[in-house]
Amino acid sequence: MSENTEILIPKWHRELELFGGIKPLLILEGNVLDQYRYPLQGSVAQDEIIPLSRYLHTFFADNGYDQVIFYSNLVGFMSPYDPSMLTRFAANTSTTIKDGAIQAEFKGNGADTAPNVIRRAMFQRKAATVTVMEMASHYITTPERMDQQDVNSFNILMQSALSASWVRTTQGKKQNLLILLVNKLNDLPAWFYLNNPVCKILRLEAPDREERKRMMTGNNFAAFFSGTVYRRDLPYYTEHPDELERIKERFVGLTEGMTFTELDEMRLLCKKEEIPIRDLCTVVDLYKYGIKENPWSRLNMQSLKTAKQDFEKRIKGQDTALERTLDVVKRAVTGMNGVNSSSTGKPKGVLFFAGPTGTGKTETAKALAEKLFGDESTCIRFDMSEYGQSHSDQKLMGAPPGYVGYEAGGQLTNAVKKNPFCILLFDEIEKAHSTILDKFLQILEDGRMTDGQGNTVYFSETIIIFTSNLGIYVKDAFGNREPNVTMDMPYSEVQTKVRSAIEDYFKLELGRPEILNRIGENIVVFDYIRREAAELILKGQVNKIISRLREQKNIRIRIEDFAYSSLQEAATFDLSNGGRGIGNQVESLLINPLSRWLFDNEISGDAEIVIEGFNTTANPPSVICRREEAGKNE
Amino acid sequence: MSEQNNNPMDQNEFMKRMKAIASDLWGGVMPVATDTAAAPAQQPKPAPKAPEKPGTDIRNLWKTADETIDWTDALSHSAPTDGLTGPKLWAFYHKHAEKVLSGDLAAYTEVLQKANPLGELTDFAEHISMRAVTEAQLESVFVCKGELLEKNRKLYLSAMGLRIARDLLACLPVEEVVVKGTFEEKDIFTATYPRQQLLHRNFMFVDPVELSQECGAVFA
Repeated sequence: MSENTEILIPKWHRELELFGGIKPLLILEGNVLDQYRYPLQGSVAQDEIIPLSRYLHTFFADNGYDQVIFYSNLVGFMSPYDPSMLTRFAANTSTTIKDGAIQAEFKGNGADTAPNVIRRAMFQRKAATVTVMEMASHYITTPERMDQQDVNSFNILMQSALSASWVRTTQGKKQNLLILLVNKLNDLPAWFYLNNPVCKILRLEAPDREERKRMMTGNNFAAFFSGTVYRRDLPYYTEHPDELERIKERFVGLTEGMTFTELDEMRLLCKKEEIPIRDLCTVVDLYKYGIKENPWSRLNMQSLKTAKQDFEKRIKGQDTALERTLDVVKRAVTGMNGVNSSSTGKPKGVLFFAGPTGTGKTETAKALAEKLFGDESTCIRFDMSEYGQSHSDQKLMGAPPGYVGYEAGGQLTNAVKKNPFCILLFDEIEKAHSTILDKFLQILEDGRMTDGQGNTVYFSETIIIFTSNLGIYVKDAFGNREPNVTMDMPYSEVQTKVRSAIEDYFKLELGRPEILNRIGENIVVFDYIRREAAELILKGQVNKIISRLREQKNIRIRIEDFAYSSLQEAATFDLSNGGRGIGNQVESLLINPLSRWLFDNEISGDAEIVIEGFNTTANPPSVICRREEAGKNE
Repeated sequence: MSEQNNNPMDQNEFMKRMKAIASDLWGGVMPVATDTAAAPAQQPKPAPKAPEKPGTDIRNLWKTADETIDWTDALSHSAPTDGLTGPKLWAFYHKHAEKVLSGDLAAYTEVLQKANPLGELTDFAEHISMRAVTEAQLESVFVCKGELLEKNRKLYLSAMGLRIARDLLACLPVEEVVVKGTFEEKDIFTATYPRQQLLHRNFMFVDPVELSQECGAVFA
């Protein structure tokens, strides 16, 4: 079993080592509520996962600081990991301990407000002192509306840092240090840290791939499983270390972007559910979606083998497009998706359907949803023409706190939270505002998005389909819209021209080549509906009408060959609107005139009708029908 | 106008509540004493009421069990991870974790002796023994108490069987526990309780006789 035994130290820890003795004011920003792996052997065991406060206590106490004191505006000053430090701190700052803490308000005019106590602690030379101000994001309501007392408090802190004293310790000279833990840097007044020469900002990130990998090495790995599971499964994996390595690698990939706290919770879940080692990765789905069996793993290979034939029943004349679409699905099903990427949390597949209107783009997405998840309604459609304004991203992702509609969440994030196993269809993507495209970038790259309410939504089990009419028309030198492709062009030419126009749109017009990069080679160009396909579509639609009338009203319709030819001629004369245009013609030439004839002849059911002809040039068009005697043709 | 002026809660009251919150937040790692001065006047204490302890009566003996020893946590951490287990006991677990997780029967025996998982049940049987049969199976034999057996034979045997199984499954990472009951040197009860069958059960609401029968209990 290959175990990485090298010491892996996160960047912010290195910076803490570097600047801890140089800069007297450190601001730790970002993932401050998380737990962290202590990377070194010290007062805590190496690789132990501990809260940030304990991490900082251990780090500074092990590095020769005499006092590591924590301040919270709810409690005051305290030293939870070594109460004797607080006693010394009280003596050095002329304060008194009451109820286990030195109580001090953050703001006020008294001599014993927290900033004043910190000032004394920073100036004194008796004991090297680190003061960590926890939850510093919450000391003031907002940096934009501070009252004078707030300003004074931060001013005192800044001055304390500017003239922090040096103290002689057994491990050399140490400068007293002030650390603020904040969720976001802009929770603090900008003047406090900007252009402040003694201030260093350290960013705490969620654990990277190496950190997560580290969690899976050595005895840390055992802690993911219940004793029974571990005892039972380990002998097999000791003999098959490669298999174990693959499981760990996959788990590390699936947990991209998760915090240590989330990883630890997943560990507990794995243990509680007695998940065996071979099924370790299922805990990720269990944690994210609350399900053990992923619908993707239930997909039947056999049914996918016949998918193209099934699709062709619904979508006519789009052989290449269907083939390309199914390639993406097959890649997702075989687990090959994302093998060329470091992140396996990405969506299962991304498709960009382009092509003329009415060629079956939306229908393909629906057919795919039915094939994959057994239900067409798992294809969730967003008409992107509704998201053309700059604030439209809030409709999709949810408004931020304090804004109207915040409670409702976002339409996209809510839909994916409700059903993470779905096809997301973004129709006419070119009509969306460019800020939305930025959001898509994140979804396509990381497979996750945090909504306005702070909930993380995962897109890793979705297929994302964009549809667009880009490339069908282009603008000429005068800004006039003119066709880029025409029906008389062969498919290969249509494909090349449309692809090239899409690339030009993203690269030149929009100036966002990175979006195109995320879509990769998955642009699927749908062909024009050509005569042969049009005839099939017409036949399908006419048959559907005939069978529905038979089923619902017991009205049996027969169309004579000559009549059908004239209908076909008229319905497929203009194919510029694709399948949708044929549907419109069927409605105009067959459905409306036939229902008029049935009404006029008072036929409400149980009849046999023969359509002898279509008068397609009349206004409105009409049908020539006769009623057969019942049972004549049976 | 400041928010505090609008609020009927005065500063002292506000701080008292904040302190209570802080006590909850930091209670695990440091003592944050409550404000004794503000404590309500002592009320006359009501007469002590015997606490109702599930597991001290044969009618609810199976409802409780020992806490599961987390052997994989004990393997990976030298100090208690839950803040509940004493450091000495954790050190014992940590020392034995590797052997226990490799299915070492000698380590099993040592743990059974030290943890004495069935110690609480001595009032309910004349004698109880336990041993490791294989790395996946433990066995326990208890000699029945005549008076308890007389009251409700099936309930007594099932309650004992289930409770013994739960305690032993919590103690060691075995798959199943075989429990045998004897009376006047005759075998009168046998059941094999698999861990999987007892997972995710709410023991407050299970019928011990039914569950034991599901586990193949034989009553003689």
